[in-house]
Amino acid sequence: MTPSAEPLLVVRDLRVAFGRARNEVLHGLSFTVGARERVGVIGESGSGKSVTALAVMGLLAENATVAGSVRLHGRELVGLGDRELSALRGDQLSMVFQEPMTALDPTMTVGRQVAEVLRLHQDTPHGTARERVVAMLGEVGLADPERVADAYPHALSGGQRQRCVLAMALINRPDLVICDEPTTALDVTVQARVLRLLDAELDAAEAACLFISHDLAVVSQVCSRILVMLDGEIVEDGSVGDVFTRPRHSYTQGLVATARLDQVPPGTRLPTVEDFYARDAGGRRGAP
Amino acid sequence: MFEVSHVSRRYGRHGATGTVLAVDDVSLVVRPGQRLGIVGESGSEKSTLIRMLAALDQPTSGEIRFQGETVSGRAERHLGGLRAAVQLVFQDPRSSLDPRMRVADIVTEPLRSSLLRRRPDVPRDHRARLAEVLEAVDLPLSMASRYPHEFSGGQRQRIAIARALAPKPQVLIADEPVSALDVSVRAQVLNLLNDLVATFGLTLVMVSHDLLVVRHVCDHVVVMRQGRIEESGPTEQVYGDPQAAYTKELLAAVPRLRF
Repeated sequence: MTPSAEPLLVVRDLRVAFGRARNEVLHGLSFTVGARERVGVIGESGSGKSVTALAVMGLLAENATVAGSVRLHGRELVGLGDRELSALRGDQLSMVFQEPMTALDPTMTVGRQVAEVLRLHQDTPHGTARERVVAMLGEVGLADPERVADAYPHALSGGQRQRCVLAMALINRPDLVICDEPTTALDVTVQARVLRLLDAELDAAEAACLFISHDLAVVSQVCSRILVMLDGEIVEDGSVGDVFTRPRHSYTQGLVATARLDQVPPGTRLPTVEDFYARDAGGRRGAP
Repeated sequence: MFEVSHVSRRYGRHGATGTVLAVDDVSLVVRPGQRLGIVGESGSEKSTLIRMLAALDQPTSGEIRFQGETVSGRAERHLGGLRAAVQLVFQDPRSSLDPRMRVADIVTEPLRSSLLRRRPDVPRDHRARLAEVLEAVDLPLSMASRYPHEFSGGQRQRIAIARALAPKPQVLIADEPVSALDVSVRAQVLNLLNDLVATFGLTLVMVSHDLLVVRHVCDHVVVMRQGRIEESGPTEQVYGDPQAAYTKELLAAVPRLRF
């Protein structure tokens, strides 16, 4: 499939603006994700993490203006029509959202929803779809996949729902899975289990992953490389080890320091981002 | 400060079948000046427990005493002492602050309450108190005429804390006070809470699903699961040498930086 030695996903000078005023929220992002590579995107709310994910998926609202280039397998996605994008989404590209209750259709059984993803993209011989759906639900660690397949989302727990979403995202063995805060809505013990599962399933599917989270510890469980976003720009791009032990940008230094809650003696003052990185009056970037 | 003895909360009509026992025979003591953390996952009924502490909900059985006086089962008009002395901070300041009220009115609203306004310990000079509490939470007085939507999440949580401080409470109950905030803002709000509790000699009861947050702020911890207390004790002891299998599972699940 790959025409050249180009990485799986290549984003060049990606700019996104909203509305008539063309308020630019992404200011020329460039990054790549290699085949099977797992890249974390960290930054606080408003930094543009989710907009980046939606821009890659082609899921931005109609009032968004996208400029620059997003190439998957060397094919340009910016400017593609909805039909062509739909053929990619759920097949080569898939997405796991934060809140599984809104990602799932409440009026359809989970089994039908997973089967729909399968049928849209593959010629599935009559009657075999259910078999594959149940097998996939079992693979994502659901104890009684036959029963879960016939259940409606409201009858499942948060962790079970997120496993179903994961099953939908993985059943067509996509090349790239984009996860936007996939465990933020889950309890800690459930989060730990879903992260382990994601790790194993990405390996099994040989899929690459763009993993968005505000939680550095969570990102470090899954990813090998990290992009740090600030005000619509990537301010740091490096291996997990480098970014956490030798952060170069002062904002990253602040983020890493605040995330290490366990390193601070209880009751003493916690370091804040502002100790490292000064925002100027407009709330925009300070000196690196 | 609080004595909770054998408190249970059952939902559903009394005597009917299909009632749900939410809180099951919980006993605990909160001493003055203590910083008690209540940890647990969803369904542990930790919020139901603190709603009963704040007398926003009533136990079906058992007794809750505040400063030696029984508060469970008492009518609202007898709860003035508790209402003045116990204030709450909720998880999401977007939903806990009235979007149509200015900050000044939000913060001083507790002082105008009919239950509180005649109490001797509640400040009378609302303007002066507004200035004091805004300064305590590091917000400029000039922002008092703005509306909540004009503030960031961290600033909104500061407004919620200022409102809680306004009637000079003795106890602050915080339900997941930093869970809706960015990691970068979380540290600021935790520092602020720590400072305020120390400066004003407050007793703190904090509910959180985040074990690291509780470890940082609280000296005692209660671990809840499905309406029961699994384990309790000094934070250092429970974290260093957990006894209950569930506590061990919770501690093991805390995501840590891996590199």
